[in-house]
Amino acid sequence: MECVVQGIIETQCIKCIEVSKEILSTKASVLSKPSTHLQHVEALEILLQGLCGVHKERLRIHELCLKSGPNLGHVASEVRVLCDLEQPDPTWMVRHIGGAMRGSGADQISVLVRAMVESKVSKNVLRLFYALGYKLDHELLRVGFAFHFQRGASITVTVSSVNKMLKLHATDEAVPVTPGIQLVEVTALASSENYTEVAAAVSSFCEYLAPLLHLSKPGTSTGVVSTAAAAAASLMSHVRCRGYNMIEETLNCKMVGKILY
Amino acid sequence: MPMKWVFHWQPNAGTTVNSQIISEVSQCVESINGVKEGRWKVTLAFYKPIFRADQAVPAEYPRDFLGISLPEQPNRHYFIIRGQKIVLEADSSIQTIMEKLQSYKARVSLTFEGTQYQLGDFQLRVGKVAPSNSENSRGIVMEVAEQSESRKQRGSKHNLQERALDGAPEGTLIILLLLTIKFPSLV
Repeated sequence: MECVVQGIIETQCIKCIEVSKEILSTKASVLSKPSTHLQHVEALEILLQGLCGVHKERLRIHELCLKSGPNLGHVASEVRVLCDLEQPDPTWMVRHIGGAMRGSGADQISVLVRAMVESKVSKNVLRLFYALGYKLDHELLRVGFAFHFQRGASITVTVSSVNKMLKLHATDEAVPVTPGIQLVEVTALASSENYTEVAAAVSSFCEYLAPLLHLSKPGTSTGVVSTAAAAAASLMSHVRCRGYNMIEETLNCKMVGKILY
Repeated sequence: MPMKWVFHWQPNAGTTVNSQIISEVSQCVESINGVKEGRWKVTLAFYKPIFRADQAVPAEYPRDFLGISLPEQPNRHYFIIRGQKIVLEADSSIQTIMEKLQSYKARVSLTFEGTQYQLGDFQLRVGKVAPSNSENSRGIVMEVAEQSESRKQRGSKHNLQERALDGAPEGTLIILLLLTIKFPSLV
């Protein structure tokens, strides 16, 4: 079982005073260059780093969606095979996403709670499922970054562009499905005993991202947030003025609220 | 990885497999200084595809799809399609995924379980075979495995296929001889 929300963020540039990336690794002074641009995604990354307290992990996942052949099974079934291309030796996983929780209880929760089972597998997994009668329905390449951290629950935030392949399995030639837009997902594993607590933890965390993007249940997109540009500029301006130590030592929940609200 | 021989017990004509035979085999092992180490268990399931509208299974779908859990890898599960020589190694949760897909169903599930012994350089497992939902024994299985460290010390070939073609190590033969004196029906 997992709790999940999604949102989108634009990758278009905004005008901002440049913040040298050296600020984040040394105590060098800020360069001031009014015409330099900064992306919303970079602002989100810096915000997440401050909130999560961990370093990001690069993300490059080849996702293959397989569907059962004609008349196989009581009902048509779907399974996802994921290959982590970021690892030195690609690792494989199978994921099955089940139905979402329904009813009045589910309506009162701001995150989607759904069945989910995954399993690490050996690299011949595609060969097995093809032999069992499953067919490739579509494939995607997700490229971006992820943060894994503990905040009331074990939460994962991924920010990625979703790319399609023009040729079968040609991950090197993938192109964005929606240029200029990246998908943000916040997920947390849960059980039937603790999903309410996990959902609350996810909701609470998402509030800090509200100025940059709106996160909602998958399938109920609310588009980009109109305040994103201003929020990103404000965040980066604050970083410029206060420097590296502020990011590392004081960019906690209260400070985020002070910056962005 | 140890080298193993797995034997299917053939009871004498006119007799049936029963727990007494397993008990006697165990006593025999202990009489030749086998040290009881504990219990072991293997589960094996034969899967068949599920088709809607009572259709006959098309030929292209596998009829030899197996799932097996081994005591050496308690958190792993293996799916096998024998005819296509496919062996998938996965976390145990892959069984849950297969259940949720509802495209294949376990037609027959068997449990192999019994007692494990250490006999010099060898590990010996003796047990019964029974349907997973029944206590009725349908067979007896014995597994003799030479420990990896022993093979390394002897400096023998490491290629499993070559060793199988060369025949069992001498020690395995001695164990089998001792057991066949008591149980002539063995192999």
